[in-house]
Amino acid sequence: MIAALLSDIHGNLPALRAAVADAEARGAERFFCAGDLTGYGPFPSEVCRLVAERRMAGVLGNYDGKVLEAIENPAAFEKAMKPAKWRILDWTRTNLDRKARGFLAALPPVHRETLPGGFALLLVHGSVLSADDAVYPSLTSRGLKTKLGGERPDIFVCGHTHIPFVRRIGGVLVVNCGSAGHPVDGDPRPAYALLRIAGLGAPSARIVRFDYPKGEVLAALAKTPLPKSLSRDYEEGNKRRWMP
Amino acid sequence: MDAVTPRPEATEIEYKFLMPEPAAKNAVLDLLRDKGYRTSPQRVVHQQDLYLDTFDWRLLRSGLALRLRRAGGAAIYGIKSLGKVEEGRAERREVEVRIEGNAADPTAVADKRIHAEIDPIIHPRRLLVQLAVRTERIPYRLRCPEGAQVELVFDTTSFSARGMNRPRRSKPLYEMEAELKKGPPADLEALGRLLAGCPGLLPSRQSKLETAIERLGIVFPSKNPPPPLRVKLEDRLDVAVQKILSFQFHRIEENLPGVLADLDTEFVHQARVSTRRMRSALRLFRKAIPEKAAADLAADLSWLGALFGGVRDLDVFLLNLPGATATVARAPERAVAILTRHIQERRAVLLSDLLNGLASPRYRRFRTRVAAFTGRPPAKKPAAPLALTAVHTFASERIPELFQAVLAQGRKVLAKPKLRNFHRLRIEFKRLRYACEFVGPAYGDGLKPFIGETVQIQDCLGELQDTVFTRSLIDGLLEEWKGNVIDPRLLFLFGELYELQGELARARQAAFREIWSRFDQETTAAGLAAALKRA
Repeated sequence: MIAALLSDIHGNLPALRAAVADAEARGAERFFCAGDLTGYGPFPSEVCRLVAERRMAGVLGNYDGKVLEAIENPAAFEKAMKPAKWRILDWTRTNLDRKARGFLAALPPVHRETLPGGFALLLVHGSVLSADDAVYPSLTSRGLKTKLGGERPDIFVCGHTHIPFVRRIGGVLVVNCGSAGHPVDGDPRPAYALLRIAGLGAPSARIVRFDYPKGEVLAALAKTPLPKSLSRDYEEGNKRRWMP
Repeated sequence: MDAVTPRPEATEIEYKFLMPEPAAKNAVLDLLRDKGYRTSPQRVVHQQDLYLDTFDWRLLRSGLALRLRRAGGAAIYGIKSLGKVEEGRAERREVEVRIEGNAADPTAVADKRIHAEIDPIIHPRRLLVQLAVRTERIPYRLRCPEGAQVELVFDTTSFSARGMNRPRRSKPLYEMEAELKKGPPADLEALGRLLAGCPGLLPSRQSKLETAIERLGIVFPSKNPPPPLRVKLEDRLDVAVQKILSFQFHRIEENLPGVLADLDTEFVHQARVSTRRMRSALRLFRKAIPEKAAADLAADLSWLGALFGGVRDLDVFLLNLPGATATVARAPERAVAILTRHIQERRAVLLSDLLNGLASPRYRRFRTRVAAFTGRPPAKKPAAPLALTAVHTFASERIPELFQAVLAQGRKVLAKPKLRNFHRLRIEFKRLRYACEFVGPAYGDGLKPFIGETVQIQDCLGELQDTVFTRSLIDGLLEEWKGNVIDPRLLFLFGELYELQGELARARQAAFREIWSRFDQETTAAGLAAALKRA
């Protein structure tokens, strides 16, 4: 079985479409999404719709959760956030249609599934502890134990940091899918992971970087009041401050 | 250095003769012409050869000479086997690699073939320029009566010592070399016989490198430097500890030139080991020496040990890093390079602290204290309670106690294999081993087999401790860099290296059980008891 593991699409529909096409061309039969479908990008509802249509097993991301909360209580967020950040959140919450809202609201924080071969997959956004928690490539076995909160899956899939990696730690295949729509690790190409399970052999995964029609998202972004600085992220895969 | 042009490995056969003076050249040429040889002079060549080796001459000791030759704007690395020279006839295996540029840093040999030859021998040592040889070569093309072509060269060579050697120059050497260029070897042999009969010519018995070493009076560093430790069974303990401290301090000082010039990691290592041994000696013999003097020296040694230790720990990390990253699947090269550079920078800071420390008044005071302590005549009525105890009496009691402490801790480790228990065992082992080594000379070779039995366990425990250090270093770096922009590939490498340490630690712990089961035997205890009794 081959499965595509996606995360942090952040409203970038052209990138999501390209990721799905690329993964299918590589033989992906299943899709998993580790959350954060919305925010930053100009297509939050469309992304939710495509994820729903493709029946991707998914979880709620921290930004998605924030969007849902901001719909209910915008004043609290406006007060607490920096204006530029609030502008993005405000635009996203007001441009999220009812169907997309309902889809996000139905997403669980954790998804568990037994894959062919009996391999237990655990899908979260940040970690089992919280959608805001971060799993970086420097993860140690001790750190993993904490992040798993007592669970012991064979495959641990997460996102959130936008830094993709695959590591095998103490018998657990750890996959951070990176970001399929808003890369920030200096490589402007979005990323997803391909998981391969062949019989009873140990599952393996690798990170795939792919190209997509960037112009579409840039053009759509230009028509929104979203900060123009966001286009730099799409152009450059802007580096953020990584907290190890 | 970029492109390199390797020349196929060749076996060089030549005749070499020593000449008493440069003027002998004319007599040789006259003789050859009389015998039907046709001689035609070629252009004079001036060349500089730099001989590279580790500070402890590992290549030479393995029968190899590595040379960078600069002549006529070209730079050529050559590695030669130091084959036998009989009656002036030398036969050597030789690999030569011509490089672009002039090799500004001769020790940075950028050729895989040379590295393949030398790395297994020199690792983890560094290369340094040991000798410089300047030669004026006056070549002649020689056509033998039988038709063979030979290159005949008259050399005037001067030698100078570099690296850690005492700087000096030697008198020039006059040599003549005959090398077959075309034709049957029998023609060269005939020429060799003719030249051997030439008055004043003596067959050369050694290579230029060997001649240079001899003429420059180069002394190879030895693991057992003079003066030897002469602890005797009947020595009073206060006298024995003076001898031990003097011996170990001598070793620190002996390694300082290498530390100051940062020639090789081995110097810091050896100096640190001696510092540890001095501290251990003060602890072991504390009841035999004046309290105040011991406390002052211990404080200085603690300070000095921390300075050496900081550099050494990073050296070990850097030495282990290539092996560790080789086992990490998909180790990102850039991340390895970033990490290496960062640790090297960190080491440079610690080395600077160390060098400042060695140049400080505190080190001078320490030196004075050691000299005062080791140089004073033994007190007639010493205050220290064990000062007058004989070495044998002390050793036959204390060493079995230390051995029992090791056994107890080792069994504790087996029951509770916690890292802190392993670390404690390592310390107990060091105390036992050092005690045996301190009094070892008094027992002849009696304690050597027992000391040998502790080495394997100590190596195992040392490797385990290295994994603990590496993990703490990574933890420290991640903590220090929190909030900074870090290349994700570096984070990946950290994660993998961290986990690798765990695997190594588990492997070492498993190995320990096996090694320990061989050590914790009646025969080990009996061997130690017998060695201490035999005296």
